[in-house]
Amino acid sequence: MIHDLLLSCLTQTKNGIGIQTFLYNNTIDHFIHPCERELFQEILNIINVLHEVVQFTLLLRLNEYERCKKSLNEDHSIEDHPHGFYLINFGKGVEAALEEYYDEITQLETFCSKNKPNSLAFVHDALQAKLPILLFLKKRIFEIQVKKLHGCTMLHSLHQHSEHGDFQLERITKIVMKPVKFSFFSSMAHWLIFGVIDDVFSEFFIKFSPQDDSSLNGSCSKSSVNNTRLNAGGNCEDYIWQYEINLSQLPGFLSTIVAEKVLFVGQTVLVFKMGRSFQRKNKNDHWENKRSDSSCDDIYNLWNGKESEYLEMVKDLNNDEEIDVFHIESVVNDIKKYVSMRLTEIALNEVDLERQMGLIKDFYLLGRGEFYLEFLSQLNRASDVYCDSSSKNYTRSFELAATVMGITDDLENFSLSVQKTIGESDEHCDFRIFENLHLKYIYEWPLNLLFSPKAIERYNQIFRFLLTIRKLQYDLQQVWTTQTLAAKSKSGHINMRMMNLLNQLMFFLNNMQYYIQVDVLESQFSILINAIRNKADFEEIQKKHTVFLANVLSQCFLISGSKDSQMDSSRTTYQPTNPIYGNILELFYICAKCSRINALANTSDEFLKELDNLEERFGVQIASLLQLLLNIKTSSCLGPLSQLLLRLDFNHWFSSAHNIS
Amino acid sequence: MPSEIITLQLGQCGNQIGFEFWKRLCLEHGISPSGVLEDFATDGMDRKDVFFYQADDDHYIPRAVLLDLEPRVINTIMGSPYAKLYNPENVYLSKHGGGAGNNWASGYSQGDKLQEEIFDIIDREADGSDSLEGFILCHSIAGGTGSGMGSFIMERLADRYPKKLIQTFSVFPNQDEISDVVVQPYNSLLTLRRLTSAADSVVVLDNTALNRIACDRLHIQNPSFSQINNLVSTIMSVSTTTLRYPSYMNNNLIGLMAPLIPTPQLHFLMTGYTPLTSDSDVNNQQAVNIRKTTVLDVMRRLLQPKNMMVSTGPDKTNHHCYISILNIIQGEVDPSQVHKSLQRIRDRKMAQFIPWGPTSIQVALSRSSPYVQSNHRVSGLMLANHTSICSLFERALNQYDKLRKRGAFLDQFRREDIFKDDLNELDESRETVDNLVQEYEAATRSDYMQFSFKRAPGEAKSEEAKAAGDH
Repeated sequence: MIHDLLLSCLTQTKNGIGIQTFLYNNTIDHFIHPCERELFQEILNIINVLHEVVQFTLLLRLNEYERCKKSLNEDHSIEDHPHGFYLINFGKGVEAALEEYYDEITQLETFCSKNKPNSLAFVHDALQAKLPILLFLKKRIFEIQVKKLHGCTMLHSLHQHSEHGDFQLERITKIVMKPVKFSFFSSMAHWLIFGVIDDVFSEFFIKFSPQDDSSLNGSCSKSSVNNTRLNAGGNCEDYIWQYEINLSQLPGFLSTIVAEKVLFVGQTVLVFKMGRSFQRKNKNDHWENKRSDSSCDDIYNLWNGKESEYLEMVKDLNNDEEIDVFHIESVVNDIKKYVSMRLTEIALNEVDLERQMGLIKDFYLLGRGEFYLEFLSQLNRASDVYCDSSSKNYTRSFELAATVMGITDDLENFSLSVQKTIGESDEHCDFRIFENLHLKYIYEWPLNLLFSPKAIERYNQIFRFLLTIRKLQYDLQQVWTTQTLAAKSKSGHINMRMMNLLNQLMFFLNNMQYYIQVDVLESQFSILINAIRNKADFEEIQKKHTVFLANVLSQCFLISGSKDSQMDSSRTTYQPTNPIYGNILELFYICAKCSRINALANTSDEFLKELDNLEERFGVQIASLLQLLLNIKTSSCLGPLSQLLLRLDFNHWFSSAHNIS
Repeated sequence: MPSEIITLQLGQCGNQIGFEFWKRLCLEHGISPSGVLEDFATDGMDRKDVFFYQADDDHYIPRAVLLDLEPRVINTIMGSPYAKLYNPENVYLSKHGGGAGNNWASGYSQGDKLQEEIFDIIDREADGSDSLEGFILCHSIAGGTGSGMGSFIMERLADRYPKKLIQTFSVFPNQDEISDVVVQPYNSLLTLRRLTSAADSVVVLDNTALNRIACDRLHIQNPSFSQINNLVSTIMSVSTTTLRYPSYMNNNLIGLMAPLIPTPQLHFLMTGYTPLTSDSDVNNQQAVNIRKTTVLDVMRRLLQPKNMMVSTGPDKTNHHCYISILNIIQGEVDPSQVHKSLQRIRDRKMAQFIPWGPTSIQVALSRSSPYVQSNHRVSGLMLANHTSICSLFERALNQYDKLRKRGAFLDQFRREDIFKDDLNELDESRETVDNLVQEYEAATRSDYMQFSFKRAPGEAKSEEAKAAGDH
């Protein structure tokens, strides 16, 4: 009888519970003493617990088996069940933990067969000792099932229990965790050293989220992985930006800072992969050959033969008994430091990052005012000649201006295009067209990490804003010139009111421009360049760069514009547009109107009426702009805004004219 | 090559300061005296083509026209190492070489006679540039050639090139010493009329102030012409840096002038420069001299009258004010300092501004030549439109009135065509200059806008004129 009982302790199928049926009839009384009945019951309970645990591992195996057998398109049916490599590994861990128990049973059996007089109580005691473990395992399984934990979060929950007070349970946790830990560190090693994520079930805390609509719909994680592998060949340059931190999978023991570092390293590795394939493509290129032959110690090689060393370091993490957070962090830090220093070295020496940033400033941020002046005059000429404002004009004028200024070399990496086709443009706001302009910059490898598509889009936002100011300024200056030159000619008298309004508008634009160029761009840019000059590691540069862009955008009032708030829908305080930006746009309209007013062939009355209208509107807008700036200034310590206020109201003219206190 | 500028230098003074200006430009752009680009300057990002053009043989040639009625100064230039720099066809000397005898009228009528030859040169030069923006004229207003012929050429330029801007660097005579040119008040007044009506912007270089600065600030007992001209060339070159180097603003003459000149009449600009050092200073204490000047220092000093290159005399009623200011700052500038300086200047009320419109101190941070060593960390030039400049014109009027009352020295004027019948020209000039003084006085008051409405005879007429101007 006892032997049967022990056997059923080992069986893993449901049928093993057959012994339970003994309880239902009184046959059991033939074998055991009635007072042992209770004990028997308890042993059965223990067996039940065991079975639940075993069932779980079996189910996992079965699932896996079925998954392999079933065609993969029926993902949904499996979706509901817990799944994933981490879970399978968890199952393995549980099995390993159960080994001990099986050993105990086997021992028990041999003991029983050797010693004749034995009692149920003895078996019960032995099993009772193992009960906590079984219960613990059951609890973990239950937790995973209820909370639907998988991947790194599961690891985290296990990690939390590894601090369990009970020595025995701690030991068990370690056993269970070991295989799970293994899969975690091997994913990490793959990502850190090779930039590969082989993560079908999105279990790792870095995920690849394809943005292009062409990739298959829904949650076809399989296909995204295929994409990853394909893209890793280096077809598309943007894909490195589709890797991001999956916060829901970030295990609690890793801080986001560490996670960011991990992400950065992997992206760098990808960039270098891209560089290599780029190099391969250009093998026939003489220049490239020369370059790789002579001076540089193969700049396309990130690790310089050190990859095995770092791989060992990551693998080594696995040998820790528990998850040692400090150890992980130090390894990640070491690798990140090496990678980013190498990247900085290359960025500074090979592609002259400082010069690249200079070019960015010159062209995105309109540092080369004379070039854009020429661009605008070319544009004017072009629209005179071709009588249409087709989008081609912009590109053509841009190229022409570059040729005329003799800076085609500097501009070889820039190209201007109009993103949307220009429809019937409103007569009064042709500067609106500028909002469709897109300046493309082909960055030099390996600066991919700096110029993410997001960053480029931000640059474009600033670019369009600055170009709009520049264009309006140009138009107003043309009006100024005609007026001034007209005053010289004998017959000429000019309208002083027109001139006055013109001066005020120009004053507004000029100071807006001085504010942006000097107070915002120059000072922010010098911070960035200093960081680059100090040979900060690359991640630092990347961070400074992001800060630079963010500061510039916010100080140009461009942040929380409509586009931005669309992207950032999570923000609670939703604002349709920045009120100051709206105000400035309104002022731009007035400037555009004023620059056209002259060109209209109008009668005197009409002209005066229009002038009155514009004067009034300008007064209202500038007053409300100042009021806004003033309010912000008094309510907080935003320095930059007070700079604009100071410039606009330097001689207290606007404030006294409009009674703003 | 956009926004080209042609420089015309007229008369003794004009050619001298022009010569200094070109010397300076060559130095800053790394161009040798013979016009060849120096090896160290081959990859500069400066914009040489605004003031120079490239001949076929890679020589850089100034877009300069040298005009004089007497050969002395031009011969000196042609005897210098810079002789080969200029296009010889652009150098014009009158054949008789007798000069204008410090007589405005003589210069004016000689200009009339020689205009075909002169405008052949100017037209050719203008045709050679893709999009000419304007002319810069260097001359003095006191002598004969620069003032007389300068006046004539200015008028003709305004007619012939109605869409081009004319900027002048006009040297005003030294009031502290007795001039050897007795008819100087006549000459000045007659030239001032043209500067008012035909030029778009006039940078006033006042010899009185320049001499005083040389004495007081540079500690030179008897400043020589070359020392004064050195100052002038500094001002001229720095005021064109935003045109000659890549920068985000003020990239052409319009961009430079438009913010400074709110109404067409008020186009006389003062300059100031700091810090000043003379050549001797440079040689003696080169190491010591690199001072830690800050942006605030520079901007504050630029507002001090003693650094102004125009002697305006004491402003007793204290009512004069700035119409506009543009500071061109060069050197290692911490951009955040600019705002602090502006704030400080406003808080301490260091400058008074017009009460009839918005204005401020515009600060352009400009690059400076990498080939010229400066012994100052930061240096700055101020271009300012200040109402007190009218005291200069008042002085000219007073001196004219004194001379005119006595009817002195009018004979030599009557000899020329323009004064053959009567002296109306002089009276008209006086009225123009008087109106100018009144305009500047009016600009100190808050009702200036009403004043200028009155000045402009009716809106309707101005409307017609404007419409006419557009078509």
